[in-house]
Amino acid sequence: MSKLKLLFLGLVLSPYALAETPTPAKLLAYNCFNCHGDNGVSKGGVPSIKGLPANILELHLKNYRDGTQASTVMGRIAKGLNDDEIKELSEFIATLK
Amino acid sequence: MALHRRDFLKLSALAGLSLSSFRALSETTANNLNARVVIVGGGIGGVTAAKYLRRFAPNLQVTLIEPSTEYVTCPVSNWVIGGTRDIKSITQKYDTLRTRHGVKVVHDLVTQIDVEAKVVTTKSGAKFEYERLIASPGIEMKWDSIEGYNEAASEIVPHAWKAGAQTLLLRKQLEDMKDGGVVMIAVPANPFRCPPGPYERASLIANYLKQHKPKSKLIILDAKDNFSKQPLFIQGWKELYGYDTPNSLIKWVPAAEDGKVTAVDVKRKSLRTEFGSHQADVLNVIPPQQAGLIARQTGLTNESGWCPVDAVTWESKIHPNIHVIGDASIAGKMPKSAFSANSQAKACAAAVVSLLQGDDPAASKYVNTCYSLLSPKYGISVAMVYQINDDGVIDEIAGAGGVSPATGNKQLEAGFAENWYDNIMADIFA
Repeated sequence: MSKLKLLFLGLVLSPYALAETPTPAKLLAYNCFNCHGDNGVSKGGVPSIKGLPANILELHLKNYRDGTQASTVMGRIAKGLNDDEIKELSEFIATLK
Repeated sequence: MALHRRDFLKLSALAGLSLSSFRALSETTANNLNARVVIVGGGIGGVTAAKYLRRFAPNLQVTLIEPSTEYVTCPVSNWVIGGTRDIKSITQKYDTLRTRHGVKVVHDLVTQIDVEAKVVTTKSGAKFEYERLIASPGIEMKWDSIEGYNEAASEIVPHAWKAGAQTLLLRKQLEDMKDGGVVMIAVPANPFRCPPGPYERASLIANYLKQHKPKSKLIILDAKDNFSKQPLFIQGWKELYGYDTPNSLIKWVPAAEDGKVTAVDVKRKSLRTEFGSHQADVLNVIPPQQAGLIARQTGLTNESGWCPVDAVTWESKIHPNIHVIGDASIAGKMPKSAFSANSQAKACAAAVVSLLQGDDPAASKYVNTCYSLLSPKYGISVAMVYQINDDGVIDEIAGAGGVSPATGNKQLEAGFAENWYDNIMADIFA
């Protein structure tokens, strides 16, 4: 059995932990990767978020949302999130490995 | 092609998996170990969906069918046209999708989707059965909607609205143009792929002209009276390119001032509008667009030329078990952008897994952010968070999103624009 054939049959294991269908707040967290990089690891000036403590993420997002913390884009996006979403997605990002 | 349990066990052993790990895997998605999802189209939406399907359900059999062996991205292709980036740096490959995510990538053209039998046929004659299909077919040009502009004409007068050879053709024509030449861009009415794209393109061509061919001009002939991020573009054009002065490098002609292009003469490089004609040295015609060919052949489009879908699952409102994401879909207030396609693909992947497991997919919010460069050190952005309203339509969340402030840090946003590209491409292709 060639490696190619294994690939053909889709037998490469996912690099991620076995996952369940994401909740809406977790799906929002996956949208963070669009700017913050693959699995939350950035390649440049936008900060990485993977594994940051949940309470820190939550605080930042709320500060961006109410404008007490300056940002270019993040404040505009945070204004579309409610407290529950911010809490759950922060907890999720904190668990990323 | 079904993968039977016996085969899986045999292959698992070969792959070094123990029986217990097989059990652990099978318990996670027990009901659909053999579920097959076929993805048609290897652009932003298709590749994101493939990667995230395998992330959400590691046992799913995901096959992605795409004719090209590499993907030149539309995002950042304007930077190549402006000469500040080379095409290799915006060319993505499918290797990681195979090796890291276990997606079967087939380089072939889908010629038919049998919606009843749930079978996809390709140009080479291969057939692929599916339980669920995700179509991310992108756009096709509406040839001949502008008189004289068809596919053959685009080999002489590029649209450069699909990146690759078209991008390089436009770049080459700009390089060959004499100083003092006139560059003209014809822009279509809404909706079309990448709403701020024509104006970023105009900016980065102006940046090139300013440095290398300063006697030249750029004229935008527009089928609209206003455009995405307009006040910020105008502000930047004033700061950078003398807009609204006699020496302005850029001139924008809205529909109300006879900007709508009705005909193209590719040999003479001239354009006709309702009341006038315009002579260019380099011509770029961005024609009106519609959903990719396979979507129309399969009957997934309505009279608008785009695909009506459920806003939660992205399942077609015309053919069940087929989901349509990205530029081809009718997505309410979401623009036809790479970020939108990526956001939609993740939600669609989650919904497909839920449906295969017999669960009800949950509605989620969506996000979009689009950066535009007005010069390599001058960036602006628009961002929005969306939710599904009571009518089942994707709508903007009041108070969220918006464009960069007029006083914003343009250089910082230019840096973020570049980093955004690297990061979203890693989210998709890595």
